[in-house]
Amino acid sequence: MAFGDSAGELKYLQRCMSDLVSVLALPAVWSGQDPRTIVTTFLDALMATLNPDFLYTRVRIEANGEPIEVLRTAPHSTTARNADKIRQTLNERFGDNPSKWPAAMRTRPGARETSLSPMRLGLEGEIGIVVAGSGRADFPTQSGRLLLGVAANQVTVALQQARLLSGQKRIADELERRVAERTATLSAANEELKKEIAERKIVEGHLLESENLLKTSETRSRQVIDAIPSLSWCNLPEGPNEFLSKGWHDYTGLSPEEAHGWGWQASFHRDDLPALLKKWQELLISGEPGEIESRLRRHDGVYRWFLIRVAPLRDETGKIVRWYGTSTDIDDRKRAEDELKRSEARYRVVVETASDAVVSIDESGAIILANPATRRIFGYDPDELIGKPLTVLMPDRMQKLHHAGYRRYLETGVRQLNWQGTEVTARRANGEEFPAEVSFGEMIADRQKIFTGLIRDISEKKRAELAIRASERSLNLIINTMPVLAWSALPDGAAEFFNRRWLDYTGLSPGQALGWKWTDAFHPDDFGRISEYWRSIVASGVSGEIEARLRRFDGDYRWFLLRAEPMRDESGGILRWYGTNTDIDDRKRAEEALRMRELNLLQITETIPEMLWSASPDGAIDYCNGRLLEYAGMSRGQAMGEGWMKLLHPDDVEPTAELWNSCVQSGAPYRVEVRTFRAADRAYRWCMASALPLLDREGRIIRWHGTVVDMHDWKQAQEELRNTQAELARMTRVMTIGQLTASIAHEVNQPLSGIVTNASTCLRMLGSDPPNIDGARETARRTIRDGNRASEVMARLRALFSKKQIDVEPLDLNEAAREVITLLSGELQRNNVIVKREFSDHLPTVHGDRVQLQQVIVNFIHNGADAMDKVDDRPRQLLIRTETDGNHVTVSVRDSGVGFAPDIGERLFEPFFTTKEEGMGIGLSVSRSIVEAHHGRLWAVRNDGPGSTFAFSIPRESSQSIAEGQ
Amino acid sequence: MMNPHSLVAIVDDDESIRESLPDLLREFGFASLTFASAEEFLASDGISRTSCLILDVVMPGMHGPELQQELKRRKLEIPIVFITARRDATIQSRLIEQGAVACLTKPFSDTALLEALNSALPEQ
Repeated sequence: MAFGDSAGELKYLQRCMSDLVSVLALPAVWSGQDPRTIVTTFLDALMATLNPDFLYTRVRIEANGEPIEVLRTAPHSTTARNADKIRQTLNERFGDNPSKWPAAMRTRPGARETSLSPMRLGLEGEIGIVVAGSGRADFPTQSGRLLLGVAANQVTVALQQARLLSGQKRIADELERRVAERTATLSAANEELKKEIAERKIVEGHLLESENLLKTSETRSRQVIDAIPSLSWCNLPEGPNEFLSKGWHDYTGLSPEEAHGWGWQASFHRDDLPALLKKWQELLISGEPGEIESRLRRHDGVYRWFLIRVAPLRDETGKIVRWYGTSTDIDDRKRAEDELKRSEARYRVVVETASDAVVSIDESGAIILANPATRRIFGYDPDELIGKPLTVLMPDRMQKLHHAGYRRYLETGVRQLNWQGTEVTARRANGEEFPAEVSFGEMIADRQKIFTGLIRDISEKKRAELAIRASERSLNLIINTMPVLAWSALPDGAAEFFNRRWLDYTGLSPGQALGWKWTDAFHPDDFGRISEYWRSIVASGVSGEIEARLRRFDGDYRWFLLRAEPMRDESGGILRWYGTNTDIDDRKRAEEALRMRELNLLQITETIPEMLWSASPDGAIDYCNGRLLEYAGMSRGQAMGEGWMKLLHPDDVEPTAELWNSCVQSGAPYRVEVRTFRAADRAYRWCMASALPLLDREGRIIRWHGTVVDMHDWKQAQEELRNTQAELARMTRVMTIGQLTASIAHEVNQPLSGIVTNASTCLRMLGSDPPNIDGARETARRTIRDGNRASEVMARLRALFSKKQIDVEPLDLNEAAREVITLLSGELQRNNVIVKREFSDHLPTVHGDRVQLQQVIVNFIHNGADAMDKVDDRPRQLLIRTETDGNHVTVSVRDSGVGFAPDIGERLFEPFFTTKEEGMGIGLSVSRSIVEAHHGRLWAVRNDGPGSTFAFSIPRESSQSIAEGQ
Repeated sequence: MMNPHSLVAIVDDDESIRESLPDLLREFGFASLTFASAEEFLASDGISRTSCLILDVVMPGMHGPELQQELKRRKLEIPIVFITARRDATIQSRLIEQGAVACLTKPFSDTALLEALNSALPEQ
């Protein structure tokens, strides 16, 4: 069809364009996505645009990471079912390295040939490969290959981005993680340390107190001794126990009797006893005070550590008289000490192995501790830093600031910096400056504040951040400079972002568009439709597109194609909607104009009361209007191409096709009369088909436009007219004879009047008295003269029907009689005459003068009708019959009239014999002349019933006779 | 006999009528004048003297009935006897209705003519 083609092309282009746009918009969707999502959407997009049977992709994001392998197949495709096999074959044949795969190939891995279109991702395929496969031989089309190429480039860029991001992210994450871990550990260790130190102090305080007590107890009473919380005792100078305090007995649960002497030993831990006894022996020998730690069993069997201190009491001579001792429960302290030892070890390990530098300074700002990481980070040996001011780790310009802040803090406690994670600039030993993150803590030891700082080199992280920011910026740039209006929305459909172009186009600020306010920017007529459609898309969660008019900043509305795609998480939930608005106004207008034109034309061609068609330059019919199809009873499809030939009468097909082909070749106007099938009456009808070529500026034929005109009726009418004219001419002759008869009557009457009058006068002249002889003679002479004149008239009349006038032709008397009946039917009807026919079916052809013989029949019918003129008591019936005996053909006319007297039968055919008042007696006489000229016979008989029958018969072979007679 | 002053005018394009009828009329005792056409009759001075008109129906030029109308228009009440070679009862009865005394079909008998003339010219 004429318009179908351009509409199809338009649709195809529209599809290509929207495919391309959707592929170009992919990076916007991919930004910040993980590689698997990128690959998935990439395949989705390819699946939708290329429509392959399967897609196979294999990408490697990290150089030595596991490749991501995805095989996507179209549903209901046999090729798709073999896709996995195809993929295996590819891997086996061309190796595991996709970069070695061919750029294009055809293979027969399955039962069916499959077109493959592999495309490298990355210049050398270092990112991976994507293979699109299809069972279609033409796969992929040129535009498909282009799309695949564009999409592959897009995904390569996105995956490279992802690769970069993932590298940077990994480094940053790792740093983050390690710092957090170490900060947590250190802070925990610090806390513990503080707690332990505090506990220890308390214990030491206790100890001190008990020592003091011990010193004064020597002179105190037992009650006093018993009241002190430590366990005290007194031994004899030789060693055995003399006294144990009540506390001791309470603690150990041993009675004084049990503990007396050396019995107390049972209370000590078996493992500690040898060392204890040994120490005691040493003290006894040396006479020196001493102390030992040992586990003492409590009454409930629990051993607790005790510090056992003993001092000798000497008399004035210096001789030892007693040994006094205390046992102080140091179990808690002991445990705290152990814990402290372990904690310190842990702390040391952390500090020593930390990747961040740990530096402690005293109040003067001198470094008192530096861990090994300072070597890596600052380039100083930890030992060489000890005693140096902290400022060596700073750039010169920072030092003053540091001094001021540090001094202020020490004096006022006002912190100038955030102690947890402050970014500063640090300086390495080689003078290089670098960004560092510092966290510090404060600790008081020996009334001196000690500050410990954790310094982390964040130059890597900084670089990564910069790179991310840069890529975000470039992404932003892309989104805002993309030649489409782009936006994103939350899963509930509320818009959360519009790109620069969108805002520039609409002239709206983000605040005026976000959420649901953007709907106001659409044409009021589209508003409802758009809102509803968008809600339905959001509700169903499938991507969609719609066309609508979007208001420009200047108030103009332009048509846009709106597309929305959901971005999903791994579980399929929608994270966000991404969309583009593409300006299709020009295309839409063109489309609209085209559609209107097409509609107009279609209206014209479909409403015009003509049958129209058109054909392509090669002569194939590509359009028939409804009227033509209806006429032919064909569907649009049946008539197209060469289908119309079936409509033509078989005899006309060849010449018509020949003519049409020659016109198509030469461009000459086409015009042919051809019998064409009409469905309504299932008959071939004469039609005039014509067509003219439509030429372009160069004179080439663009198309043929043609019409078909049913001229059957016209042609038939023309035919009938021709026949009628011929008939009319003949009938005129027939009727002329009738009129002639009347004029003959007139001519004959004139002399007859003269004869009658003259004769009458003659008689009267002769009868007068005296007779007028001269007058009588004169009138008699005139009578004779008029008689002769009448005879001349008759001679002339008979000559009219003489043999010489006969026009011989083969003749069907049935047909001749039928014509006469038709000719006279009006007149007979007026006279209420009913005409019946009994025509023989086997009437042989005769030869004769058609008009003259018809004249005889006219005469018979007139006579019959006249004979019934006065009949009112019975039907006025006229029976016209034809019959044959094999050699003769007889035509008879039977009336139901008054009939004739039996005695006049012979005279009926004599000239001027008539029974009718108005009759001249000429008709039957002339009829006899005619019939006799045909070697026939004429007769009349009285019917059995009323009326009479007039008949004539002529021999079959009369032509021969007529010819002989001449 | 008949009134000698009665003049009968004969208007007929047929010469044999114009030739034979005056002789017969004279035998009946009528004087007559013949005219080959209606126009000729209207133009003649005999029109005022005509007591009776024998008039042919179909003639070249003005037909008989037209002359009948013309005379009526001129208020000349001349009795008319039509004669015609055509037998047509319709025309004949219409002519009688229009005031004609009789309408005779040619050839007519002498008695039929005389009868018509007698009724056209009642004896005075």
